[in-house]
Amino acid sequence: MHLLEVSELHKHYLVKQHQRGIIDSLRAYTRTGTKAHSYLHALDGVSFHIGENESVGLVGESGCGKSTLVRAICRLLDITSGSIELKGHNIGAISANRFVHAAERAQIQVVFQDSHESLNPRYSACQCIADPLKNLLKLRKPVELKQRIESLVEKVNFPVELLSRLPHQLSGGQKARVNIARAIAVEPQLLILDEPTSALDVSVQALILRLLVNLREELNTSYLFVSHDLNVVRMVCDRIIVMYMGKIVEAGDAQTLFYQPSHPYTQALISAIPSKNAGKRIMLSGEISSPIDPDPNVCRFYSRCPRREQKCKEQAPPLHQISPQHSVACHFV
Amino acid sequence: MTIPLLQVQDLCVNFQTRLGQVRALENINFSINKGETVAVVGESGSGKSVTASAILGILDKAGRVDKGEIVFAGMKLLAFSQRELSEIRGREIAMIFQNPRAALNPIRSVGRQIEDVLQTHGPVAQGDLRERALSALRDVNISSPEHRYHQYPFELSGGMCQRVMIAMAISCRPSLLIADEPTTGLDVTTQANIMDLIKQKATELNMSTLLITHDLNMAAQYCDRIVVMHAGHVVESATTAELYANPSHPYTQRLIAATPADHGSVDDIAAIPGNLPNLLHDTPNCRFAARCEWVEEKCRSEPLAYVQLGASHEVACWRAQYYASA
Repeated sequence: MHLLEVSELHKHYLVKQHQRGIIDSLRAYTRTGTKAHSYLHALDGVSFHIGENESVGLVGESGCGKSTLVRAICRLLDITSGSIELKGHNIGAISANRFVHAAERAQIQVVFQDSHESLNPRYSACQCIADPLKNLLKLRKPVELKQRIESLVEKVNFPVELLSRLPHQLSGGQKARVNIARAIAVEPQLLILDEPTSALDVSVQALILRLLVNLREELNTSYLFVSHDLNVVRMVCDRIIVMYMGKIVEAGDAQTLFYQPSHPYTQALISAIPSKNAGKRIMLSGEISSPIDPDPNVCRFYSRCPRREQKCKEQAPPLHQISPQHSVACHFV
Repeated sequence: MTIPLLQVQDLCVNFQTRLGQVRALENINFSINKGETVAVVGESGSGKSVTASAILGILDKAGRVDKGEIVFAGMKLLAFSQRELSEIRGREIAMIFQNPRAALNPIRSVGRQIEDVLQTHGPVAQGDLRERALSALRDVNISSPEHRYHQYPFELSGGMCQRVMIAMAISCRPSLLIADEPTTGLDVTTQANIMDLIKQKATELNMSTLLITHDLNMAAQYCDRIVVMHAGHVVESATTAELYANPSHPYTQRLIAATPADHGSVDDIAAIPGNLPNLLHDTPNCRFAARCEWVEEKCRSEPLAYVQLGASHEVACWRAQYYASA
């Protein structure tokens, strides 16, 4: 059994008529003949799993649904359909409001993108870390708390003498460490890292990445690592999932996916990574198609795909396995 | 020897703050030749953007150029008044800013904004304005420019906004383009498209480019020469190939080691210990001294030594001369 099993996850947002503009509404009306509401398909049938002590990377352009997926998994928003199973228990069925009090809450923790914004400016580093211990683990005794906090900051190499400082008195790397310490305080099974190093200078990035790699071994946690820096994802993750407009287009072993990408979008993505010995760039032309009421029979990538054919417009390619560890959603692979 | 298009000589910039004087730039030296693409690379706070602002004469009020010279096409820019500078800004030297959405006027359509630039910087007949703006949009590969012309920045994606910025910047055919982190906040695919576009336009118009970035990989891919900055000093400048083949300043070596490359695992990248020194206080003569593993007494006490390692390779470390002879 996998630690996390997400199957056929859908999240659709209702687009209000006034947000679409009157012309678009009329156009939709003439096309379908109904006055039905339109929906933005943020996640459209996403299925994947994360194993025990596995690190999975999630990449894709902004707007592809990465953040929606992260928020759905840590139950910050209600899903439209599908299931999210944590150790066989469907947490997708629990509403976001009720999940706050659910026992599983401590099992999934998130390290958010902006380490400064995500810390309470009026909480000292110590209070930030103590908060989940008090609220989720119900630790009350000061002595116990102090011990736990000290062992945590030692794990993330945060200097104990800085514990009384407020976030604005800490450097970027130190704030990142506080965020990580806070997330691992409750010993989660799954740690979601949303662009943990994007705000850091390269000089500090290496330290934080190494810390994350070491922590995974030490704590026996699984990671879902969201990042736009593909080099970083390759270094930290065992497997990579590539998303495009609410769908998974390719998933596979990190090395294979990086060096032998199969889906045209993945190929373009990999070729776009800046590097001193960059190879041939695959240029993506064409407009990104709209995620509002997309045609289910057209491949989402159709408008930009360099390999598109008539077939792609008639039937959307399903995600299929091409080898035990590697699946691709493309007709030509 | 050709005369460089832009020459920055011994540039010192200080900021007067309530806490005291911040010596943001100290003896900055570098030059850009005609048609060359040069990158300024460094961590945040190393003085990259201040250098760009000083060149354009748009330093914050608290900032002051204390010493040095900025020579652009034979003109000493520092002696110019703001009025004279505004003749050069936009027409001769154009700049692309970091956050395109914030740099564009939110309540004016993008077409109009391009027209504003054209109108300010040259006599354009009223009837031609629209056509010129449309062709500027077409130039940067914006699809259906007639439609985009009427759109406002909030209606465009980040990559599209950056294209509009580029269209504005190159609409007057400048001879120098300063791009300050032009792709932060953009997706990798968009980033590559934007950088390709800048490179392509630079070649077409024989325009020199100064690219300010923190991404060494990007600098290596797109630039002929790299200037590495650390805490307001230029620590090393060399051609891209030379910098990678023979990085001679300890900071450059560290920076290359810290940047994730195509191959290798997390064990192959190494962090740079320590932080940038606080420029409010007195710093040792070599500002990297506190973070350097080879530091000696000499580094702190003696003035910073600039060692010439080749025609276009200069290093701000006295140890480099021993490498060169060895």
